[in-house]
Amino acid sequence: MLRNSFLPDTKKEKRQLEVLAVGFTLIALFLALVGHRQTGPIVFSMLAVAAFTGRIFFKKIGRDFYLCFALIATGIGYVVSKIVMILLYAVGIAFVGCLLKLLKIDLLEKNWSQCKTKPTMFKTAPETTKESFERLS
Amino acid sequence: MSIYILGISAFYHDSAACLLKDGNIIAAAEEERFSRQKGDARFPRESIVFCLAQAGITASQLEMIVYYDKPILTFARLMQSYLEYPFSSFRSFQKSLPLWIHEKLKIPQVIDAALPEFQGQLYFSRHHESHAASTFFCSPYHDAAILIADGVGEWACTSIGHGQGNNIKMLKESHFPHSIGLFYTTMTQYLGFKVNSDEYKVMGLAPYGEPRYAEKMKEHLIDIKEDGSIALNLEYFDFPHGLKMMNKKMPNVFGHPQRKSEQSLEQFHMDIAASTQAITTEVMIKLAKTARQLTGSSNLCLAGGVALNCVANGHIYRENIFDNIYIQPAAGDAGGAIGAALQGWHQILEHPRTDPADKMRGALLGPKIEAAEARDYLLSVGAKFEEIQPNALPKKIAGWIAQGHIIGFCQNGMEFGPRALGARSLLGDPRDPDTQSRMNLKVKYRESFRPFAPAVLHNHAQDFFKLDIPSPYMLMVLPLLEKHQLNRDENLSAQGINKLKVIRSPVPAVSHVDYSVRIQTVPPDSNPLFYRVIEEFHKMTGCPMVVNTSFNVRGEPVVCSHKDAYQCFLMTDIDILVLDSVVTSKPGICLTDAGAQHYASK
Repeated sequence: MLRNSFLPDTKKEKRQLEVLAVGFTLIALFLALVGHRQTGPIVFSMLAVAAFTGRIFFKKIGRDFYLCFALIATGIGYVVSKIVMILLYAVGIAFVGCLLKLLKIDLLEKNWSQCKTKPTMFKTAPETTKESFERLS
Repeated sequence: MSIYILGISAFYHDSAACLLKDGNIIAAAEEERFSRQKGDARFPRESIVFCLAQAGITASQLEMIVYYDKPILTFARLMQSYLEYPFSSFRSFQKSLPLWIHEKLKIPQVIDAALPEFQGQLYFSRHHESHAASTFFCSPYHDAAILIADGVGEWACTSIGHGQGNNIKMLKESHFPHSIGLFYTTMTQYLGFKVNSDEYKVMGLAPYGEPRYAEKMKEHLIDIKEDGSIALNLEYFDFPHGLKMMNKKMPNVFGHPQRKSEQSLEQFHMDIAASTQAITTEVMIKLAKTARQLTGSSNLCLAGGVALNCVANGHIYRENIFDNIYIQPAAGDAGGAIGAALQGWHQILEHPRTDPADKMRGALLGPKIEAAEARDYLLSVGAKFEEIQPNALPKKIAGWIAQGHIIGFCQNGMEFGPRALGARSLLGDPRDPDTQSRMNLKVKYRESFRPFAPAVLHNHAQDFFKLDIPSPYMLMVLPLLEKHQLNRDENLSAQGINKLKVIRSPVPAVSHVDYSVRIQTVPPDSNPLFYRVIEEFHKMTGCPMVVNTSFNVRGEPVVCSHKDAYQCFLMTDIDILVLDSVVTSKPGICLTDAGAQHYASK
């Protein structure tokens, strides 16, 4: 699911380091303001400083900083995306699918013995109008 | 000012683009030919670049782009399928959802990013309507029944429509998952071949077997209705929710495990192939009869992946259901780009069809081979070559073929669609019994059981086959006339692959083990040089046909440029390479007297 690029151009790397620096600073500030324990604001402040340093001294160390963040982000992203997919599937597919099963709704005409008794599997095709080309659906 | 319309098919298989100028196809190409990835499904950037360059325009001059499918409907079908299998569809869901979110549901954004200067309208056609337009609007008929059969579009798997003038009305359709195309693909997987790619191998294998399992298939897997619609028993199929076509129950039906890809082919596999083909043929004949009944038309237009099944097409023809049949040469998804573009012209802009004729122009719609470029390239790689006067070329090529050489023949625009039709072809002598095995094993590196097709002078086709209509796109299989069938008893008693050893006709390289032939009729106008080569071969040998197969090796797309052709020539046992009027050969082969002296001096 993740499409991290470990070889973007310099401009993109600089931009991402700027975004990281600002983002981490905002998270640190937010955690400090809501009265979070000290660990959170300190960790995010350090990350913000790291990103900021990478941006300022980009020619010397910026690329290493970028790679570190990208690697960490990839790991976190992989886990998070798996969790998101499982949640989406559980709520959107498994739950609704079970309901359909309980209600005996057959969206795909799966029942072979019922299908065998039908004289045809054809349906009337939808009409095509000039306007129907303008819609994605 | 001219109106340009771009048709695009992408993201499923065989991505392609097609450009119309004032309703005429001026360029079309499949992405795989440029990217060199067989069946490339990515956005067809290179094809679009070629189409625009061919017309000498930029994207800003496009009136509209028509995409061949409605992605939202396909996505809805996918989700509904997952809902039907809430305990077993997670793997497929997990794999497909990101692709949909990133690309398939973002067609406008993808097009914006690829063609930022495009200012026109973007339209979306339905998948089967694109197929229908690709065959009807390209056909020479004012009125025709239209039959579309493929794996699946948005929901439709089989559709019947009626084309009249510039209007197409879809009448009936059967829905996913009850698809004859997906049934064929599932059996392809059961036989150990590659899904969505090797279906034609099953068709080639079928004549070695008997349809012993057809009844078993009807009992357990597929119910065929009188009108040709079908119902599949989904207990045995995995494709609606999984990553495979069949499930573990399928082998129980036949009492044999699924064949592994490199495992040897046994009589059982040949019988399964024959049974699958028999079922498909039966379904297609019934569908054609229904189409005739619903429309009352005496012309039939075919498209969709199943329309590439030339055996079924031949049976439809022999049943005399229709007077005329037109099959879109790019019947698969690539052809959807042509259909979408033509819908833009005829159905959105409402231009009438004046004097319908075959709009595909021999399907030679791709990049051209230019002699000057070929010469420069061969010089740059240090290859020895000769330039032959265009008038002398056909006779020379015919002579080389008659001497038993295999010719790589590249000229004119590249074919659009899966068949090589004499522009990116390998040519051989059909009279030579060794041609088939030599071409299969030493040139194309493919299975020895697979047959080759002949390109026949159109006015001599009836000397060999009972064929009253043209078959210019090699999409019709018919039996050889009985007078040309040899050694019938020997052929009947031979089993399986041993049938290959029997000499069955005066043209053994192109007659399959059941005496059937996949025919390409060649008229003089659409591909003149190719026609003249066969004409010269006929004058020399009395045989009005040559072996014509695609210029590629197993697993590779057909060659596109002179560079692809030269590389393929070097890697294989092709004897002589013709790039327009520039000719090169393998050492030891004399092209001319001068060539002979040259090689002798070496």
